This record gives sequence, structure tokens and C-alpha cells, in this order.
Amino acid sequence: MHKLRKFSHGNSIALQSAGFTFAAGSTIFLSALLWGTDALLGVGIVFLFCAVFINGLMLLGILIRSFNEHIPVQETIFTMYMCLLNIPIALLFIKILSL
Amino acid sequence: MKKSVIIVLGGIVFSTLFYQQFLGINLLLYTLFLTVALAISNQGMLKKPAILLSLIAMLSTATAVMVHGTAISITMCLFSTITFFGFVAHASSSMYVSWLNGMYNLIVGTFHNFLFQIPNEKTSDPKKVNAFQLTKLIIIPLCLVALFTALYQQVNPVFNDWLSHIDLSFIDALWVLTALLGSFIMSNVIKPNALQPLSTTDDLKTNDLEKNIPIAEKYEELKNEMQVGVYSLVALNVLLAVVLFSEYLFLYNLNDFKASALSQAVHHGVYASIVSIIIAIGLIAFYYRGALNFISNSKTLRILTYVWIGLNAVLIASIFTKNYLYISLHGLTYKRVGVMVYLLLCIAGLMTTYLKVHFKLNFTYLLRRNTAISYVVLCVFALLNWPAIITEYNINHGFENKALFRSMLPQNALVLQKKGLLQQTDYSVYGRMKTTKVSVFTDRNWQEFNLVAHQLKQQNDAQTKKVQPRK
Repeated sequence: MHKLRKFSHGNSIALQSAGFTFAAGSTIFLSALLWGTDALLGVGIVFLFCAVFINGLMLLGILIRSFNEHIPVQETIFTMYMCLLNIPIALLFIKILSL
Repeated sequence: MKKSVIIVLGGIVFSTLFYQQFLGINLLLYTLFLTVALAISNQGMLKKPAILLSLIAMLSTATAVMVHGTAISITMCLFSTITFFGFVAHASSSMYVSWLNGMYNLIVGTFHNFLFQIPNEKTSDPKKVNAFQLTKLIIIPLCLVALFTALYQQVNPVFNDWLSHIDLSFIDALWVLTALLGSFIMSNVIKPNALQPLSTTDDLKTNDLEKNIPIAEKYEELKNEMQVGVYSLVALNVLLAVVLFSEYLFLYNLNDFKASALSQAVHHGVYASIVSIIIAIGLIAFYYRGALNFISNSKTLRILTYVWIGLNAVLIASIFTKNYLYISLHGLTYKRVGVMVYLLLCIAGLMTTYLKVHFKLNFTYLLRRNTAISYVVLCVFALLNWPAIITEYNINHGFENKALFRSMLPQNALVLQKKGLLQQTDYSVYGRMKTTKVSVFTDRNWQEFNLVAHQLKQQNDAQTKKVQPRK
């Protein structure tokens, strides 16, 4: 059986950050969908700004590291893709909540 | 090369069908394209029953989107497409594993070889063109030239003037981006791969309980557990019998109660009863999880379990009666239809629980069968145009609720028009499309073809012709 690839330290942190953003964002979305309070929407907006800032920094970090270190191009692309994947998911959540 | 052609074609088809279009016949055409594309790149896939069944589910729900286009049909079509990808990746997997496999391939399928460190297949023929390299040779220089041209445009007016003579207005950047997204989706799913070790573990897991005859020390512990089970089930059976008797009294003397009592019993009682049935299934699954199944003197516990399953089935019948009475008194709504579906799933859950106990099956069996049954029930549910059914039933039985009818537009528009209520129903908000014109729903491109919209347009056109005076 083939083994799962190990990512470089920096990219691994970026992937964890993307995963955490997805998990926390989904939890807030589902809570807002179930209970629909304004306070939860406020939490969601604050979380969104924080997530954009942190993941933006992560993306910048991935780019800088790809120039300085010998990281496979596919690893950089995959990590960036996973970070950016949160954007359409967030847009979908916002669209559903605004219906 | 064949793969590259399909990927490029996938992008063009995706953009042609979906770019700036509502959902309609385009979803059916795209699912047909996916079927052909996957059949070409995965030889022999259509011989496997699981793939064939998921394919039928995908195509039939896509047809439902074309015919009426309710939200549930769209959701189930997307869900069925993911299931189909999952089964193509690994045909022998359970339903829930196929969902995970489908999602995995849809999102990161193209990175599979990189993620699992699988060496890429080398072409044995040295003359064969490397398609990926060829794509890079075209796309990367093109992107760089476009970027630098945009920058150099600002450098001097002469270069800017030369560029202004090149008319590229026929290229729609967003169309191209949509096509790229379509190509990416196609490259992800063209050769689906199973998630490992999840799929292999699922294959190895049978539905039967491992025969586990307890040793002498464990036997005493198990006997105590069985005793607790017997006492608990006796108490629960008595309690449920009392509840069912009170249900009988309530339904038999319904006229003595206020109308709000039935409403309360339906709204709160139904959900509480459904939760109690789910907990009951969980409890039975917990007691019969292991060695208790193989004890020789567990006959009493077994009989009590069967009785409890039977009483729960009677409880479902009583909820069904209450819901039916409520519908006949207040009309049909989506929620009330939803309760019927829940009850159907509960009955299926009880039947599989009975089979689990009777044939000494494990929890995985319950999970496998119940997810598969739920999926099939929801697929069948999605095929029907419920807004039209609900509207027709309510009009025929004298429950005219314009707010309800309006909320279910446009799928019920034909029924409303047939009954002469469409003009009376304020359709300033057409379903969730906030528009003031009916024409937004009826005037559609060929990609957006919807049977309800088409028939509505035909009827509207016929009426307009009648109204126009003859010259």
C-alpha cells in the first residue's frame, strides 16, 4: 500500500490552518443555520476577517518558502489550493445564509 | 492523449452548459457526458451493479431537475453524482465510503498520485507526445505574454495604439475561467481513485458478527448484562404499551380535545416519538453488539426485543394516523410530507434492526443498510414534483393558502394556472428568484430547458393569441 506523503513543516502548518478554518467555519455556519441568532452571524463575520488575514499570511509564506527552499512544485500548488478552497466554501455558506 | 482530450472537452462542455445559465436540461446533458467520459477511461465499469445503480440514480434525478427542478431534486442529483464517482473509484464499497471516495475525488482527485507517492506511468513509446508538457508549453507562455502585454500597454501610447487594433472582445474571460473549472473537475474525476486504507478496511468488514462464545469468567459478567437488559426491556415494553393505549384513547376521542391538542401532538409528539424510536434502535444495537448474541439462554431477551420492535412499529402507525388526520384537517405541506418520509425511514430502521438481531449481524450491517435505504428513499422522493402535488391536493380539498402556494412557485405554476389561481397568487417573488416578471422563469435558453417552464410558456402564448383581436 502506498504511503501518504509527508509535507514540509511550513506547508503542513498551512494545511492545518486551512483545515481548522474549514472546521470552525462549518461549525459557525451550521450553528447559524440551526439557531440563526444575530450574535452568531457577528461571530461568523469576525471569524471570516481573521481567517482571511491568517490564511492570507499563510499563502504569502508558502510562496516565499517555495522560492527559498527545495519544495516540490506540486506540494506548493496543493497547499495553496487547499488554502484557497475555503473561499468558495465561505461564499457558498454566505449565499445559503442570505437566502 | 485520450485523457487530455476528455479533460479539455470537459471544460468546454461545462462552460457551454452552465456559464450564466439556470439549471435545467444542462444538468442531464452534463451527467450523460460524465457517464460517457468515465466509461471511456474506466473500461468495464458499467458491468458492475453498484455503479449501474448509482448511474441510474444520477440520471433519474438529473431528469427530475429538467422536469420540475425542485431544490431536493437538485440536491439529490449532486449527491448522486458524488455517489457515482465514489462507486467508480471502488465499486464494492459501502454507501458512506463511496460518498467519502466521491468527495475526495471531486476535490483532490488530480493530486492522488502525488499525495500517495505513486510514481506516474511512464510512456513506453518514446515517440508519444507528453500531453502535460505540451499543455504547459502552450499555457505558461500564453499567460506570461498576456500579463506582460497588459503591463507594457501603459509604457507608451504607440504600443497602446497598436494593441487597440487587436479586437479580442469575442473572448469572454469568465467563460474561459468557467471552462478551466470544468477541466479541473474533469481531471479530478476522470480516473477516480479509492481512499486507502479506508476502502480496503471496508471491504474486509463483513456484516456478520464474529462468533464470540464467552469464556467462564466473562460469562458471569455477560449474564449480569443480560439481566439488566431483560429488566430494562420489560420496563420499556410496559411503558410503551401504556403510551400506546393513551394514544389509542387520544385518537378515539379526538373530538373531545381542542384542535390545538392535535396540533401540539403532531408538532411536538411526532419529533419526540421519532427520537425515541432512533434511541430504541441504538439501544438494541448496543445490547446485541457482541457475545450476548451467542449465549444459549438469551431467548427471553430476544422475545422482549422483538416485542419492543413490534410496539415501536405500532407507535409509528399511531404517528402516521395523527399526521394523516392533521393533513386531512389542515392540508398538505412540505413538513407534513417530510414527517411521512421520516416514518418510512423509521420503519426501515426497525426492520433492519429486527434482521440484525435475528440473523446475528453487526452494527456495520445496520449502518450500511440504513444509509443505502435512506439514500434510495430520498432519491425517489426527489423524483416527484412535490410543490405541484401539495398545491393540487390543497386546492382539491379546499385548503387555499396563497402564502404557501407562493412559497412553492414556480414548480406549482402549472397547477395554479389550471385551477385559474395563478393570476390571483401574487408571484412578485418567484420562489427564491427575487423577480417581478414571470418571463424570467419561462423565457429560457436551450441549456435551461425545464418542462414546467416550457408548458407554462406554451399556455401563456396560447392565451395571448386568444386575447389578441383578429385582423
